[in-house]
Amino acid sequence: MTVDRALGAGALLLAALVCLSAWKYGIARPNAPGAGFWPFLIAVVMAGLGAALAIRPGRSPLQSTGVNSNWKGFWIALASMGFFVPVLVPLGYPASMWLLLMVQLRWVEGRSWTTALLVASAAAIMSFVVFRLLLHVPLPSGILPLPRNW
Amino acid sequence: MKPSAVKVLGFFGCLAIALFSMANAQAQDFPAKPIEVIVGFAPGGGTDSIARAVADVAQKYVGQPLVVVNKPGAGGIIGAQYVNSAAPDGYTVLVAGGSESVSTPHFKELPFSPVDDFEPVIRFMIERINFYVKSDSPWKSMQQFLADAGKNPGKYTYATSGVGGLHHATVQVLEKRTGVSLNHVPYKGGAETLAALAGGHVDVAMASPNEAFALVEGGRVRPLATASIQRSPTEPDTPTLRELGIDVYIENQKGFVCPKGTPKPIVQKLHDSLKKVFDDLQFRANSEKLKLELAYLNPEDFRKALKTMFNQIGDSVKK
Amino acid sequence: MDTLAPLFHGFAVALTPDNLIYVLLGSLVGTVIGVLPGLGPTASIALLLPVTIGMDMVSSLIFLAGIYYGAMYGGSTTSILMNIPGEAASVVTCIDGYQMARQGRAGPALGMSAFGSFAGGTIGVAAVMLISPILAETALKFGPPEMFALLLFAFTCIGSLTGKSQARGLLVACIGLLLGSVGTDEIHGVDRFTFGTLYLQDGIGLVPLAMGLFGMGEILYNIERREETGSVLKTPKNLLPTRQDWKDSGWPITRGSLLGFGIGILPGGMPAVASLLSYAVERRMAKHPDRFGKGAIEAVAGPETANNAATAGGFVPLLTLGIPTNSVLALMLAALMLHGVTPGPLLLFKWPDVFWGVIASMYIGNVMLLILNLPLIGLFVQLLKVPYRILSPLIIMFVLLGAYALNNSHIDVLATVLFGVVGYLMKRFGLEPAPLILAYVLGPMLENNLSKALILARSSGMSIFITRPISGILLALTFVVLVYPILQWLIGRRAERSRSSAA
Repeated sequence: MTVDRALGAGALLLAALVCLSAWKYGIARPNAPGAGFWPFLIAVVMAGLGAALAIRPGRSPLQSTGVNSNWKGFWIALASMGFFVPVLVPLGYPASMWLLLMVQLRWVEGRSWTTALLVASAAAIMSFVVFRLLLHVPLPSGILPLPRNW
Repeated sequence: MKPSAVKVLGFFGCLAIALFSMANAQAQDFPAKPIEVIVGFAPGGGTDSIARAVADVAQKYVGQPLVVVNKPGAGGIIGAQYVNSAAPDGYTVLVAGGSESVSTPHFKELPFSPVDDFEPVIRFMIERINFYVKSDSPWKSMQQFLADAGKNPGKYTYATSGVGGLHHATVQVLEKRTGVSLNHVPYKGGAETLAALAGGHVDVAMASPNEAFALVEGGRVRPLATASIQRSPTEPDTPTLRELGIDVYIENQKGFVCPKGTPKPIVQKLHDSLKKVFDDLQFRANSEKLKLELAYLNPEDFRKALKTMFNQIGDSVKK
Repeated sequence: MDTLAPLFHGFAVALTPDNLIYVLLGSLVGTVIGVLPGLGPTASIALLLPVTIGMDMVSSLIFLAGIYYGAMYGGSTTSILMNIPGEAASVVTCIDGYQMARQGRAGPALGMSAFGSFAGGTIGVAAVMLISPILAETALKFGPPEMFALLLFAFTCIGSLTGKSQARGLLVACIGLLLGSVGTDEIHGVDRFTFGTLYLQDGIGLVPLAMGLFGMGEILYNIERREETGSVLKTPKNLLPTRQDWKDSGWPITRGSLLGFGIGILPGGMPAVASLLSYAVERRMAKHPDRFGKGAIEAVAGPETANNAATAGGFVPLLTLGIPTNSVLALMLAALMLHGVTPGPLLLFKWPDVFWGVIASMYIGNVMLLILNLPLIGLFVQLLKVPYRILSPLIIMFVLLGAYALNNSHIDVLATVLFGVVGYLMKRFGLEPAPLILAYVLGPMLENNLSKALILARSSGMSIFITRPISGILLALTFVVLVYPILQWLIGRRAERSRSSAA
């Protein structure tokens, strides 16, 4: 199955789901289109395009997977960002950003411990100081002990 | 009395005293750190400007800085929910009293009650809700408009700043009380609403005087009536709906509220210092320039006013 | 000419040493805010407003206005260098600007966007000065039917952005439309596709979406492809635009100025819409439209000019009618009022110092920004010499930080990461993000104005779009644009047939 076929089939499925919700939102009201009118319209167009793609896939093949892709780095990078989101508020910005940068520099980019430590610390602290102190963005400080009036 | 009962009573007594004194001790130290003032809207609106006007002068009365934090989203509900789930210790307050408190809950389900789940602290100001028409409109008074609209149901259009907001709710209450039927055209915010009126795209627009004043002064639009109970000192010729015999009293209030369960002494202390902010000359001068209509209420009256409007809208709006 | 005398007076006001410093300060602060992702001029002006109360009336306005247009100057920098759109108005700059940077042409891209911003800003200010009262009237006549027709015109350009496969591209545009329809519907208040969450009630944010699709997607793609590609960015060659660049950008800048200013004065016409429209128009006008998306300089020059011209245009309804068309202008209105100035038709007569002083300061500010930005280009381009293996984590930092700073919400950070994955997948399978973004921005506006127009039309129904002159003309134009390629194709076929039959 080509990617175009999959894309087309996916579009058809999505269009069907959207149609269903659109019906629930109401297609028409007395003096104006209902809330579901627009999604319904989109779904119809999408179904048409999806069908066209599934029946007659495009000629140009989509890019193929590289043999020597760096999947390890990719997943570590993604996982570390996924970890960053929930800990951002409890741990605070400086600590969680420092962790994220350490992981990126050390394991995704393969820098030495010294470089990683230096760059991560400098970047996390400087960005915190600039955004929080100078630009007054209320970044969470979390576990970092701060003087009272910061 | 059995000894065990004495013990139990004594225990609860001690606990009560301990809790009370803890609350008191907390109140005495309060505030020991900066207070977060949550604004449920982006910078640039009325809610944001009152929060910042208060924060500017508050430090010398509160003893700690007030830090304004914008948490915009879902018409103020994101900010309200944030404060609702914050620790009830007085260090997180919400600027409340507008659509998010009294009108939105009637249009959609919310995970909390915007009136009952907060402790009102102080009301600073109101933003009137006025009916405006274009200057060359044939209607010279609200009565004329209502008579005309009564004869032609569904013919006339009105613009508001959005579905489910106070301005939309006000017209719905009016429709319920007078039996007229109007067509709603929701715009985004007061500026677009007034631009639509001045451009002649709609027949009536709902807006507050501090949004409309430039157009009123420029002779492009004029107010027909106000939904407040008293006439505005700056617009003495604009009648209230109550004077016209229509029982509508809705205004956009702006005050501070704390999460439910905040100890009374802390609420009281916060109120007392914020009342001093309210009386500050600098604050008053700035507010006057921004055309904010200051209107103080204490915690109890603020709660009552919120309830009145909440129930009034609830009676007229079908979910 | 009698417009010049008060303008000279304005320059006299703006050229005092104090005010010059405020112009410089405002422009500088604005540039910094524009460069940093997630920070917009709104939040910064809200923060600085109290500080300006103590200042002289004209100075404070000069300062705040400087921040506003300075931010528009800075906005393109991260778009070009790192594929991160710092704010809505610079989303389109990513499309070709970043491609230019990848080809080692970051310098010309930055230079041309600085010059375009200067031209757009200056022409915009001149237009504000000369014709604002007349224009303000016309802009008010622009109601939902007219807006609908204008947006429909913009929409026809999506088809040309699709890259290799038309069907795939249009499907991606449909996804954009769907993403745009998420949230509370603005006409009836019905929650659509929110899955019961509060966060989605306002819809999906443009900045998380764009930063994810462009910046984050690019980063993830580069990490996955690391071993094949090695370094991604070529070391920059020349710093300044070449003669060919100037030739290519002349008309886009002129058109961008006019278009941007026109959009800027409309109620609800945001700089972001101006830059998107400019991109679409340039693509239509281009002799070789296939260069777009691959580093065409006119695709950077046009939109960057348009968003600055729109910024200037926004001052028309504010100063002449007292209607702020966006939140930054609402804050400027507050600043005026704090000093006892009421904007509106009387402003010009009652406070000529304010009006002409601010206008003159905007001319000066634009020149200052141009001079300020030229050496900065060299500095920014140096950034690209930082090894990509260190730069890449830092770009991630700026994207996530910007996403949080936007609304102080960690859910926006999550959204950015999720859209990053989508952006990665799209890049991997050769799908262009541009149609998605365009459809996402224009779709909801199109729907909204269609519904409003129909409510206003009541019984007359669809005819409202044709009977009103402005919308009628715009719709006719759209029709021509749609039909022209078909006609061309038909004529081409007939010519071919007659040729083959002749042979």
